[in-house]
Amino acid sequence: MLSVNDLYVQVEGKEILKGLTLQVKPGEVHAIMGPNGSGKSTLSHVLAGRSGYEVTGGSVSYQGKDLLELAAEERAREGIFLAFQYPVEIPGVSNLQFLRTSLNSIRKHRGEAELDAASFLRQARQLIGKVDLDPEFLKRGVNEGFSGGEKKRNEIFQMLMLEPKLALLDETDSGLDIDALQVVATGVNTLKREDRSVILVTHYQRLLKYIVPDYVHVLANGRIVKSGGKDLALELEEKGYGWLNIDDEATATI
Amino acid sequence: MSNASVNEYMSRKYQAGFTSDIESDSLPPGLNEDVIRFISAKKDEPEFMLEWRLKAYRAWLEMKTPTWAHVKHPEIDFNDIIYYSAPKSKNDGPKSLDEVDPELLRTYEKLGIPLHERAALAGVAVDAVFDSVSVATTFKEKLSEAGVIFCPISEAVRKHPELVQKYLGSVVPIRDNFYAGLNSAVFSDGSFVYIPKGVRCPMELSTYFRINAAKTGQFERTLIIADEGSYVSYLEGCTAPMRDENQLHAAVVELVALKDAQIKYSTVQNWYPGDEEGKGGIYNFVTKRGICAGENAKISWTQVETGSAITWKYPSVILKGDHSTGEFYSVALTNNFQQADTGTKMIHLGKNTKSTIIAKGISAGRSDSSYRGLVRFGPGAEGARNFTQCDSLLIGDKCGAHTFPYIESKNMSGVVEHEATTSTVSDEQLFLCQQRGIDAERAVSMIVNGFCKEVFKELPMEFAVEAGKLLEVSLEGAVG
Amino acid sequence: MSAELTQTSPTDLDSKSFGEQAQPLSLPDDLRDWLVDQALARSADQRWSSAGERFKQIQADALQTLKATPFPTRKTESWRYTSVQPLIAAVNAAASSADANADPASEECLQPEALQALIDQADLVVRFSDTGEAMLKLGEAQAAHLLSFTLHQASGESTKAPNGEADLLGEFGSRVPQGYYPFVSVNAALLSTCLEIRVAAASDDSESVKPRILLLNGSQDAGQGSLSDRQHSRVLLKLARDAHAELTEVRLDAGSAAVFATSVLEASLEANSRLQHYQFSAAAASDSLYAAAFIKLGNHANYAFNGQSTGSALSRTDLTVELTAPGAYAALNAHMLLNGNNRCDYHTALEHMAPHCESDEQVRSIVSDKGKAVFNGRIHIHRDAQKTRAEMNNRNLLMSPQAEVNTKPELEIYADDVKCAHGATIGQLDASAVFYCKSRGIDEQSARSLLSEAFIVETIQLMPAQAQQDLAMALLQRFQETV
Repeated sequence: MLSVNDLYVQVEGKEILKGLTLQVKPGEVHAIMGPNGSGKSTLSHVLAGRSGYEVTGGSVSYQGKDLLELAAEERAREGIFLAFQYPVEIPGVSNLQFLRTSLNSIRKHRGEAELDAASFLRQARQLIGKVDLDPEFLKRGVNEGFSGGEKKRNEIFQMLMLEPKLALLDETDSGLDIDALQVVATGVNTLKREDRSVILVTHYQRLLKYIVPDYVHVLANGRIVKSGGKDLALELEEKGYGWLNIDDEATATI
Repeated sequence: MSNASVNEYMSRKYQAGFTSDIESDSLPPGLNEDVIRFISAKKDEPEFMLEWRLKAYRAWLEMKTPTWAHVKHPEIDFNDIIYYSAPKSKNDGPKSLDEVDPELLRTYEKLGIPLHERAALAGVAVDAVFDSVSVATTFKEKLSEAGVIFCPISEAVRKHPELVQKYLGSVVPIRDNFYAGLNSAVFSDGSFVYIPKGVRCPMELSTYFRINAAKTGQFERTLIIADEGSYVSYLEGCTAPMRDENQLHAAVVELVALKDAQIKYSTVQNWYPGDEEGKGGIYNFVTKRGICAGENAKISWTQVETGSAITWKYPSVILKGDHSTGEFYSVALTNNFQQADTGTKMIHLGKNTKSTIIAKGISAGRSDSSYRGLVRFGPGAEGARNFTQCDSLLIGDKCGAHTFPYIESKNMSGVVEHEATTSTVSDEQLFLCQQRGIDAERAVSMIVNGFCKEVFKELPMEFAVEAGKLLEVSLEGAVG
Repeated sequence: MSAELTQTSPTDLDSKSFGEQAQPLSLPDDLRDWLVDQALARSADQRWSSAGERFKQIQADALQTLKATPFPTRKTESWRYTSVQPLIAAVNAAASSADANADPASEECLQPEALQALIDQADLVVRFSDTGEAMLKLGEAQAAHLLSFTLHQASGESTKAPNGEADLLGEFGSRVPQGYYPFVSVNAALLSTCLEIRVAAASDDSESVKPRILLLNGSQDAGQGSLSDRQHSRVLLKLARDAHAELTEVRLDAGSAAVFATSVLEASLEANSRLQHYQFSAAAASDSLYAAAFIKLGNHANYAFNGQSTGSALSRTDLTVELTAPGAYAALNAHMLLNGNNRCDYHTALEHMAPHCESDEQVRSIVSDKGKAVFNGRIHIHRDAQKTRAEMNNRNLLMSPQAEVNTKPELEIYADDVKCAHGATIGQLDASAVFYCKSRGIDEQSARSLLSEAFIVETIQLMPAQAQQDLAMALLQRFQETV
């Protein structure tokens, strides 16, 4: 599915990722954990194709294609979905209008017919229920005036609508109460299928109680310093990042 | 307000308003080429300077007085103004403070200028311009050790003609506007500063301007050049005696900041504003402009304008160097019949240039205060940024507060944000303060000071205190 | 004055028409002189069948004023960002084009369906043609009985409402404030039509009995290289106490001729009356258009302006609202959609003359290609206008490297207990919003059009009526397709 090899990335001239390697097979759930500033968000942004991230070395292949050659929207159409850590507000563009434009762009790319308004609406109404958002949210501007929790649920709702092959969740769990966290987890678990993969980028392990990862990787100083099974997350919770010789004040106080 | 303290507050007068009794060496009123030759000869100027003045004079004759400002005044008779007035002792040329007319020194003492030892204590180097000529510059030696040139511009014309010739008129050309043209023709003195490459000026530089003789126009000229990587902070203060007739002050200030250089220019303007009836006061028609000529240069204007019958002044920055920064922080307070039309121009030419404008206007009495500003992004100003905030505070229902911002963008990657608000000191606020034991004028002073806080924090400390006091004095009788 | 009009013989007049112009115009004052000549030339064959003497006097007075009015140059403060040169160029082009009118326009004016909806629901439709003549149609809607009006035409025929004349001619020009309005004088000097309308209050207060007036301007007939300059209309409108009305002005130009047209609205709203005013302009790129609206609001009167313009070579709107009695409210919303070389200039003034009035203003622009948007928004709080609330917001989106925005939000305040604020921004689309769209599979182009559309849709949604919203959306779509 995804193969990241010895990736080096700079942001504004500063090296953030320094030789990161990661293999994700279809159906797998990977958790990437690490202290603040370790490069977690850089990884998800560079995979999604945000500008301003300069790849200075290494390669990324996705379903046999050179991912780095694709524009952000082409990656999305190829099935990569990024759930934003800070979802963007777009006043004046309704959720419905936005998602329909998005979904039809992706369907067109796949060679599928555009979804007519009625079936689209039916599907949207059904799926928005799964994230415990009122269907009224469909008419509101994208994330406009949404609370933090509502924005994250909206991201998960979009993910369910777009049915990505590779979902990248960038700190989707941060700032969520337990109910919202369960909604996010249910959403991801609904999406899980043998041909779909998930990368969870997170600072804490609490989301991993609800979404059980196949692999846990620790990212520090721009590279993966340790990988293991789901037990690694528990170990990190008990011991913090300190035992890996990584400084992280935030983790120490969990 | 009817309590005793208010009466006392209201009876406060313009504290700098006394006249000094010094024999002046003056020309009769009027302007022609001979007057300009006289001024130039009086100052032993090189030929180039006289030529420049005459060129300016001839250009000025064809220019018209600007009419776009939101101010009203009777037509000025430019032939009824004295264009040169020097204290007599100047003929002998004071070599040190000891030779300066003691009456003059007492004048400065009354003004609270930190000359003499007080200057040393305050760590401020002072160039004092009295009517038309610079009288004394302190701390010359210490500054020259650092390579800093700080002297009257008349001296710079003689001693550093190459610098003067290169930069004078390079930021404010002689044809820039009517008053700048006039100034170029007749300027009698002012300050000159040159900070060499990489030098951080070891102390704050300061000039005090004072108009003394009756019917005298003051046309000082200031030129500050900060060479690559240098830094200077410059303070300007002004006062004038109380007189019934209006006096003209038409100064020009030019700042040049080369690559990586920084100039911070602060003004506390306390010219005589006229009396409660609007009689007398200074017409302050000043052109101040700086250029960030090189990359990463920075020019910051901070002004507290409380004086003058009419203020017409737009300290501006031309942001030519890439990544250069311009700032304008202003408080303009008007009371009684004062009129102020002031603001700034930020002309963005270079890439990633930034400017910030914080303008606070306070109007009381029957006065009018206007902010007039221009923010322009040229086609080459990739990634330029401007933030402007103009706030007006109205005290009483007979004053006016106005905002005239011009915003022009020819660059899609530039971002301009402009905000303006108005507020008042409401009866409710006053009542609350009074109910808590704070009298009305104290309350107004608190509110006004709070309103101006963002600007005051940009002033050098000793000026910040003075500025706060000035506002209090200027607001006399504003609440009733 | 009228003596001067009669002195000129018809033969002299003919020599001053197109094609035989001695020299091309260059200065704005040349344009003024040319317009004066045009007015004199036309006055000979004007046959106002009603109130003819009155109109002759109006035109004579306007000519007098016009002759003494210098035309705006770049140094004229209120015209510093908008030049009259495109009109000068159009006049010169028409003069040098020998075969003007030989090649009639082939392009059909694409009429959005939404416009038909407006026509269908209107109580009164007036259609102005290239010849300066107007056709009037009384709708079958139920509110026409609240209208009394007269349509006067320079070409002769006048039309009266079945239930009476408006009798407002005495107020012609009375709403025009002191100030520099050279094209208002042009409008009066070249006047081709004058429509006076009175709106009475319905006996029952419901929205459904609000008379809807629709004014359609447009040029389709004149040929390549010619100048269609006969449309100069004045509307005098008075809403009686408690009356409601909707006035919609639409300009759709698709002809190949350049158009020079002026329209001036003078309206007074008596106590507690409400006017919804819409102004749509989808002109051809070569047009020179001037529109003015001078509105006076009485006690608790309510005025809502919604404007949409795609600009042209010269497109200027002066809109002044005087809030003269307590409780009056004005909402001004306008947006400019500019591409090509199109320019658009809104000069608005809110004159708060009485206490306890409020106003809100939102002006937005999207500027592409070499477009140029100009906004001058003035809020003037007079000495007596205590307890005023006035807010103004101007936002501009630059979409291309050569696009230009000039904005000047002004406050002039003489009363202390007021709440006034304005804000202005100029910038480009938010890069993070563009990325967000792209991360959802939407390409750059679509993302930009989606986001810029959203920027305008917010102001379109402020339009109180659905049919007008639909028209605004249709014109927005048409604009988006050309970007």
